[in-house]
Amino acid sequence: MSFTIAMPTYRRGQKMAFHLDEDDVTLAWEAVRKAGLAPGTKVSPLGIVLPPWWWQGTGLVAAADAKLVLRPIPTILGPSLCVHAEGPEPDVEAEARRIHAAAPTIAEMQWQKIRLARDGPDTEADFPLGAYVTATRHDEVTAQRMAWGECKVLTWTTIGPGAAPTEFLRLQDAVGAYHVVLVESAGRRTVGLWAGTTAPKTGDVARPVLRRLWRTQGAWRYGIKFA
Amino acid sequence: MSRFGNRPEATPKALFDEAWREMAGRASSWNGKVDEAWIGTVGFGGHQPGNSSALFLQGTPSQGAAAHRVENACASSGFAIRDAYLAIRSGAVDVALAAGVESMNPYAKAHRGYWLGVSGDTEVERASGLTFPGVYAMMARAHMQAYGTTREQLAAIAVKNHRNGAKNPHAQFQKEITLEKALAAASVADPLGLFDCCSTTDGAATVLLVAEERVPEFTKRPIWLSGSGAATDTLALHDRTDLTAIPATSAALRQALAGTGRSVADLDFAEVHDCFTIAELLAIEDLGLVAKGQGGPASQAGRTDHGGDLCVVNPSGGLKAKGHPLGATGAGQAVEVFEQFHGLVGGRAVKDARVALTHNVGGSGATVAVHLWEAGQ
Repeated sequence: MSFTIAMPTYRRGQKMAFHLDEDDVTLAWEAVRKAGLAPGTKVSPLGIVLPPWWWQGTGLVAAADAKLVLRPIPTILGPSLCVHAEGPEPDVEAEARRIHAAAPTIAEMQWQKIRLARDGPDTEADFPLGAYVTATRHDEVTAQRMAWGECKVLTWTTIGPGAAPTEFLRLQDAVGAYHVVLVESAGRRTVGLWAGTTAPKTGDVARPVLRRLWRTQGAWRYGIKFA
Repeated sequence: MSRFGNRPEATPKALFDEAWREMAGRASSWNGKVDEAWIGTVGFGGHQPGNSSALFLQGTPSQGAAAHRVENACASSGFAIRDAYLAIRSGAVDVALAAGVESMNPYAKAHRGYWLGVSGDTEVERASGLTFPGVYAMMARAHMQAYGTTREQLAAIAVKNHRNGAKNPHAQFQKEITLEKALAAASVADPLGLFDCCSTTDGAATVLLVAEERVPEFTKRPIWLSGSGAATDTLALHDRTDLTAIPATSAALRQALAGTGRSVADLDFAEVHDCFTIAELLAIEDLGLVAKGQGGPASQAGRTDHGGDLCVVNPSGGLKAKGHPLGATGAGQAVEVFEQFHGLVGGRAVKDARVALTHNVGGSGATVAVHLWEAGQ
């Protein structure tokens, strides 16, 4: 049976594990992109609820009677999101092993920082976090940016420890300094956080990836990064 | 002008009053009344975010005059000066106050970050974890890649401005730094380190503008505001064609010089918006003081320092050393012009200064005001 799966970026010991900015929603986009589904394709989500902006950004159509299924499938090596034809779950373990073998690793001490950051309290009580852009507009911009194709890095910076906007302090708790890139694609430019596994360089080819940005009022807000 | 610095004890109103008192003391024949006032403030930290212009005039002889709050981020009072200038030029106003006030340090770091961030592009830049240092750092890196600019050249700007600021009693940082210290500082947004960045500052500055025919009532030593220019650009850096320039600076400069018979070759000094060292480097290029790509070598060679072959840039210490109370910065630059032309600057005096320019930028170049000033005969 033909299928595509997406798994977290990094290995943690013998398994794959979600980084601070990854979850089922971000993996779902990786899975449908790997499947190469054309806009307008009907997909039936099983065991996962995806927000309206996700469907808008992918151009896919949620339909219970679709011949394609998008579902999380736990594997021995960690979580995965899978796209397959309707019917029983495919056996994804072999593909999971292949992904696991090729994945970069993060030191265990770093994973502890990621865990603490992930579980840390929200800080929106300190000031009107995120009040500068409405949730609706933020989601609209994210959906638009999901349509970006391959990009080239024109310039970049690294935001040093303690110099991040408050909503990104959780990210700095997890990874320390973080990179932001300014990219160009088809004559358009934009900026985004860097989600690559190594530091960016000018001239790097990058692609947009969906990631969790920050959490406010108990919910994660998503956006486009580049990797 | 008030003293710029870390002034948590002073309310925005107290800062304004301090600046007002100094200005009034320098215009002894003035009765303290203005026809109209334009007061730049970002309302940083949420303090008095509405109706602030009335508050600032309250208790002064100008209480009751029409007053406007001007908010164009860090260029707020540069635009306040322009508004006052245009009102006088139109004939509607004879005596105008242009001022700026900001109180930044009393607020928690989270609040400061919020209030700084909301003057930039909030939909993409801010949501990408970018800060103003980050945006300027991207410009710096692009400039390094395009023209070979180095961190040492940027640091030379910081060293010069701190040296000038050390002679300015208004300045927040009255202390010189070495090149080695600047280069060794912690990274804020690579390639910009701590000494590439200006500070958060509390302060106020006030400027009295008077119609030409009324000048004799006020002073025998007027300073002429010969030209004013202003322009806007996109909020976000990525929406601009050139990552190594602030085009609104060039546009505002053209307007400011138009019809004056002056060029930048006539300048004795310029107060430019060096919120970051790269910002001064871009400014001297965009203002045409040096050719594109030559800002780094010119700065490193001391060409914009006292004794250099170009006009002196930021004799006050600039935003880097004098400080950057957002809404007050543009008016503060004008005060430096006044003090230079009137010989009130001691060891930081620009020799025989007669023509000067002020350059005030909002955000990463979304708003720019440029003014040309000339000493009276």
